[in-house]
Amino acid sequence: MLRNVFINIIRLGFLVLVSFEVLGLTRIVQVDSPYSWLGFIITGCFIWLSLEIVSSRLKKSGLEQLSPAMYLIGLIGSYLNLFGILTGLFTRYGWYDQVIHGFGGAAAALVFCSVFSKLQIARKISVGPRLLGFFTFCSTMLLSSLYTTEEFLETKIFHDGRMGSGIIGGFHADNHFLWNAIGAALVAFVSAVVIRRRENSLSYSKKSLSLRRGSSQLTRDPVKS
Amino acid sequence: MDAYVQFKWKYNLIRLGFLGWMVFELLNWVKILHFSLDFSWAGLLLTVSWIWGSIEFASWKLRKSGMESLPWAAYLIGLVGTSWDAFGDVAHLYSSVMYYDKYAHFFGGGSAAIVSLFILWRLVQGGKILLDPRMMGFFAICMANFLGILYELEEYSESYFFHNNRMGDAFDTSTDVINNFLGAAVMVVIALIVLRKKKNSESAHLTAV
Repeated sequence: MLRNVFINIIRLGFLVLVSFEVLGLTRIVQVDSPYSWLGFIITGCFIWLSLEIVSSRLKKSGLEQLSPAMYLIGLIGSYLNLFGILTGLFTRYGWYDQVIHGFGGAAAALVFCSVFSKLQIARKISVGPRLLGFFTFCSTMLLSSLYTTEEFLETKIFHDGRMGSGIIGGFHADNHFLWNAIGAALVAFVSAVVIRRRENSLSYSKKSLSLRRGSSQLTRDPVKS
Repeated sequence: MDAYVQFKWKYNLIRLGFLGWMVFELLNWVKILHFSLDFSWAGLLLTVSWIWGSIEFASWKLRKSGMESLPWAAYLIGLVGTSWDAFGDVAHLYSSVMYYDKYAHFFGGGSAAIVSLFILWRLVQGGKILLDPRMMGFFAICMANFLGILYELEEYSESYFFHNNRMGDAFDTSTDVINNFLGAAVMVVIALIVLRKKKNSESAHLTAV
């Protein structure tokens, strides 16, 4: 019940964000953006829709849905974009775009890790912690490629210079990959460590439980048993 | 008999192919030979070392864990991809044939995905992991896509450090990534269809028996 309340609040947050960006695109709200409003709208809608689809698919498969924290991370990432436009951080500091991409990579990796963990718990998949971390990382890089593809298509169709031009544009695209990879790698590494520790402590608990059971059987009166 | 032992001559023949390219590229890089090319000898050397090295490493790790090695077809796919790239560079096909680069990335992405699928398939066969075919396919595409991005980052690093214009413009980077993905997706879908048909015909045969 409380979960639904939180998620509905976050959905409202997405709706407000996308609506504002549409107002920016249609110049009803006069805010200058160094990047394209259309790009932000597509990114925001993609994040929101992906979270909803993934959650619904998990529910359909009888698994636990995505937690409100995952929705919140997606929302924060989308709002960081808007924050950068409204405060002029994108134009003032070159590193802000890189930080956003690093956060985006980390956020996407968290969602993937959450999904794969749920599949693992439900025994739909079974992979070791390191491989799970690796799959998390690679899946996030797939999203990074999709983002670059979107930038490319937008530039090709609308000629809005979204990608930048010439060799600078090439560096721009590769820089995005690099920062997405850094964010994703950090999360993938930490999650692999956490999962491994959890598995080790679980197997330790199982061992000590079976040892205790074994020793209690030994101390039982052989005549009575 | 283990397929690796049974077909060792095929593995060694393909290794000779890799070694041949490596030696040729090295000799040109140190200016003992003077062939011209469209891009860079360092880039070619890195590519062949990476592809060959990765395939051998994956095979070795599988054998070390008590599983079957990668099939010789995986080695062959790697060699064909390497040859496509190297030959295209030396014969100036990249500059003279329209879309040669795009086909190279499409095939490269497809090859990387097939090899990744082989690796995952071996791990599933060996009981080390549990993945259904669709998840195997998805992760194979993700792995191939990641390798494609690594390649783009290598071009970026080369251009940044050696100022050799190895990296193209933004459109070049994006279309490379798109073609990698498309190649990976197409090859994985075909591979999964073939695997499914093979499985269905095997179970139909078993039912008939």
